[in-house]
Amino acid sequence: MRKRLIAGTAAGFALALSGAVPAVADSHEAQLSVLHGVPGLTVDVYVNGDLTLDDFEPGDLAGPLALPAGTYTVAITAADAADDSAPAIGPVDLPLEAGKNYTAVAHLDAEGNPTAALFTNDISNTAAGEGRLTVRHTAAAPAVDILAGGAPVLTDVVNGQEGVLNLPAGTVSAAVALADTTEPAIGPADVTVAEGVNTIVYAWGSAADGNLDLAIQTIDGLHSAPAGVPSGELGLAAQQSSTPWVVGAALLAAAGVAFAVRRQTVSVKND
Amino acid sequence: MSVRHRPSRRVTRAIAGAALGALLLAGCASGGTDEPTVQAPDPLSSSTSPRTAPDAASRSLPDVPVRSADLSALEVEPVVEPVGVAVPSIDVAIPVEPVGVQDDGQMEIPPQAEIGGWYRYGASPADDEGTAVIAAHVDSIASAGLGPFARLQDVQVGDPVEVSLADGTTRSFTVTEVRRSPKPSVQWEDVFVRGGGQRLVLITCGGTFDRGAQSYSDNVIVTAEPRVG
Repeated sequence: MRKRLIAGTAAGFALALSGAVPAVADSHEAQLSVLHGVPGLTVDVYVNGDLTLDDFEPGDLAGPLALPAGTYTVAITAADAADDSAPAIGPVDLPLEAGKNYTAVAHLDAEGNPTAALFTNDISNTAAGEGRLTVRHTAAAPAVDILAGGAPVLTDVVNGQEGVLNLPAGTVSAAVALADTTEPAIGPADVTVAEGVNTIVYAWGSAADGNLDLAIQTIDGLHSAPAGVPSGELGLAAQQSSTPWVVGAALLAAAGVAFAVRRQTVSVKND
Repeated sequence: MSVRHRPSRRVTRAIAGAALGALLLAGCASGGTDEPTVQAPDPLSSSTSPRTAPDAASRSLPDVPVRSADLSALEVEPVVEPVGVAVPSIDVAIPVEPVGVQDDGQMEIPPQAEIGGWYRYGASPADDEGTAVIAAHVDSIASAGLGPFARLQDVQVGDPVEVSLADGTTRSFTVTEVRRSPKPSVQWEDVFVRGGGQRLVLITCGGTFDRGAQSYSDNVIVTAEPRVG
């Protein structure tokens, strides 16, 4: 029995034959990571019938792997299984498109049953000075609100959904609260949102079992260069010879303005 | 001390064959910056290894890097920041502060022309790779006049540049290029390079001055590379 996955929403799980995988990504490849978010279940992962991840532990992240674009069939078994004939999750087909970046997550659905999802990671460039925060609900829990700095930034996120924010690089105090409640069910925890990096936070585990937790994945290299270097204000170094009164006026203006201008402080921490 | 998030992609931790189990354990336990770095000897070698049926004794597993996704395992690497830059040939020796990005998307520049700004999102001169960018105003309102970088256009290829670091050490560079380019023509993505060879780029303004826009027409861009020997 097979399900076809819809990226970002439904079921799936992957990992592939890296024996056939070139080390360097090119336009014909997809990037795939795999997160194990099912508490208390050590698994083996089979891809296209071949054992690919042995004794994969909850809370671990595998990859990224550069894979030729295509569809991969994945089955997840108990760690002591002899083969993939009796999977605990799957088999599912993962359609991977060239040039895209995916994370397959084995996790619990809202009711606590093991399932899997294939998320497409946003690898578009970030603005200079900014990072990206992606939050994904992969926990056995009802709808949640995502809090940053104590204020809700994403509300009513249900299992299998995600939210994406671009924000100035820095440290975010992140927490997860069950929707319509204010008390954090997870966190708050300081999450570094580095410049040019997509920092992906997964809520995983089970609210009923009291083992909700955060898992973190990062995708770097999304940065952009600043738009320019505005490194002069008076014209005193200009090529064209300025008449003395112009220079004098510039200096007078400078002397006056110097007291009025205060440097704008930047509240974002170094990262 | 600031730390830079060191993304996991830079950790090439390929795990091969029968070693997978053991390294998985090591990877889970380390949770920090000292985890094992295992380079796959040849990424293609595993493709030529025989594919065997999933047999507990002989099955061959592919190379898959695995790490803990716990928040505490997120790798951060201390960054040794530059605190000063000197170009003796033009009598420049200024302190350096970390800077970021202005609201308009341009690089932030310290208001005082006697202070250099190091682009903190890029490489540090202490790093083994990438381009470290330090810029200073050629003249500024806060300084009510010209700054030391007004002499940057007089630098010659071959001149030494010394960068002092927060840990008390110094990095030595040699100027390899001096150019003045109209601002619209500068390809900044070729200047603010995160990877690749180690470079130091010093930037200020030059050319003509547009009083209406309060802006110079050009950027003076001095590139230096690590001194050999």
